[in-house]
Amino acid sequence: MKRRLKDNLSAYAFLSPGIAILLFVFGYQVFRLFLFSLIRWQGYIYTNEFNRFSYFIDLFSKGYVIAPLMRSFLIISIVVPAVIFVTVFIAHNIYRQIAGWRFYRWLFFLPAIIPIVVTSIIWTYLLSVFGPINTVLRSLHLDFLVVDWFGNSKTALLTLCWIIIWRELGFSTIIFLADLSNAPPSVYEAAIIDGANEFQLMRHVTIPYLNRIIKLYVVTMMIFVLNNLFSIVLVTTNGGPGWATTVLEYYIFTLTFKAGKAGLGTAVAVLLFIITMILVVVYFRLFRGRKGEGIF
Amino acid sequence: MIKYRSSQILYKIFVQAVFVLFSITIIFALYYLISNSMKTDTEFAANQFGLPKLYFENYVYVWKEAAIGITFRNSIIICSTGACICMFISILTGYAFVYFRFAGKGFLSYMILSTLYISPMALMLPLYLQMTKLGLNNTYIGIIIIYVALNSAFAVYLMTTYFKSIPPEIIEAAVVDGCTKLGLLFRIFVPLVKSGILVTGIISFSAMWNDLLFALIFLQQEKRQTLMVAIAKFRSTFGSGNMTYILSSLVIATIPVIVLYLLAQRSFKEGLVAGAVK
Repeated sequence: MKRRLKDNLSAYAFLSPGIAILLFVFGYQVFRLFLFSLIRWQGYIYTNEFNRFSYFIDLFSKGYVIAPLMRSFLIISIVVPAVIFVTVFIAHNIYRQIAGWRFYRWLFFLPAIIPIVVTSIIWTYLLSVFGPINTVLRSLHLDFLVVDWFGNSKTALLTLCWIIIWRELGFSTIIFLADLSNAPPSVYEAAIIDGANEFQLMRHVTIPYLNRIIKLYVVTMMIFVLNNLFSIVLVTTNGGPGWATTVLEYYIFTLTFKAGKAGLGTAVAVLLFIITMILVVVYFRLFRGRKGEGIF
Repeated sequence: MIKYRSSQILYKIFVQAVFVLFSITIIFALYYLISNSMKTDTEFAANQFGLPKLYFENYVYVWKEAAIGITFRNSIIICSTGACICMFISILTGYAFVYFRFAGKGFLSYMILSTLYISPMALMLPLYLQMTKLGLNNTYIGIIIIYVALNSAFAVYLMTTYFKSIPPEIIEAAVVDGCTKLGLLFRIFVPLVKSGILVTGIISFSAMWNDLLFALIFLQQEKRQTLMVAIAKFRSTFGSGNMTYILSSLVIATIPVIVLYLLAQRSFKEGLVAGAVK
């Protein structure tokens, strides 16, 4: 009993610096976020008055938040299936050692280590009106394909998705490959003897084998797309043209730091926080599938 | 049989076509970045596809005149201090999780890991007002505290996987020999997972290096800006002119991350894999 207590105490002593800094930056600020969403704001100055949920009511009754929310969901519904589908395809073929697989494995990881700001700016240039891609299209007399990818509100969101996918494939491929490298080759050999072609192998051997990781990755990526697009959006489109690429996360930034509407911004922040937390709970559920208690 | 063979070949052609196309986007993006960063603006306007003639004036100019040199230094100071603190904290926390049994372990592990996924933008205003109140806006200490907090969940997670790989016999032997708890940490745990600690540091450093959001909001004073902020602003002030300057500053911003990655290539990938899904 005495030893138990002593063990607890020394464990907490080792934990304290980490816990302190996390409580300060996350725990306490989450508490303040919820508090802030319930009080009345005058610019950046908060009062002690309860706001009767007026910011939340405004968000939904006046429809401010609907469009950014839909944009976030649209990006998720494009990016997540695309990344999963392409990654399974890439990982399967690298695992099956198609010609040049070592080179591909090395090259496809490169975009993942280039800083996101750098990637975003390069692609803005590559896809600009007089950029190389449009120049090549013009020289091939394919003028009808020439588009100002980021300047056109119809294509801006899709172009954003392309950058996210381009970068994300680097990470997802090595993660899927690492999982696949534990797959027993004998299963593949048996399937080949039974006359399975490559598509059948992918469908009936690789995908079932990657099942758990695909589920985890879908949720992780949904969280990522909801919460980590700020740098890309700021650098490429600044939320424009018009509002075409103002996703939920960027909408908070616009309201809070550009428009000076801190109250509304906080209400959107609470909404984003809650959506994210629901996904995190789903993620932990999936995670625990194989493990017992705790994560570490 | 013949039909089977030909579909096999068609499949291979299809796969190679997809892979080659995707490779071209990567290679061309990098070629475009590097080659045009070494051209003058007139050369660039004349031909954006051609090879450059090794001209480094752009690099010298942005380093000296366009604040890239100063902000590069700022970024190095902030990120290396941050990464060191992050390593230290994750060693202590990871040790507690791996070696001790304590009340609330499971709950605490979930709480720590969930900070990895909390929306940073949602906490921005509370955090901003908090830092202003404490006078930590526009200071290195302020941004370092935030960066350490943002990256410690991942770092702790990595450290626990490395610590768990230590054979229990070694730990038992040390305990029998009368090693104290601090001694066990610094004489046994830390020396045995040196490369793991290095990878944790490198991954934290890269994450801090790549950040734009927090640096933009918490370091608004020009002389304290980080490199990523300088580049993002550089672009809006220069607009579409002077592209070659911007491209050369992008190369400068990429070099440290690439160097770190090459230093620990294998364990770097393993670290990312371990952290992402376990």
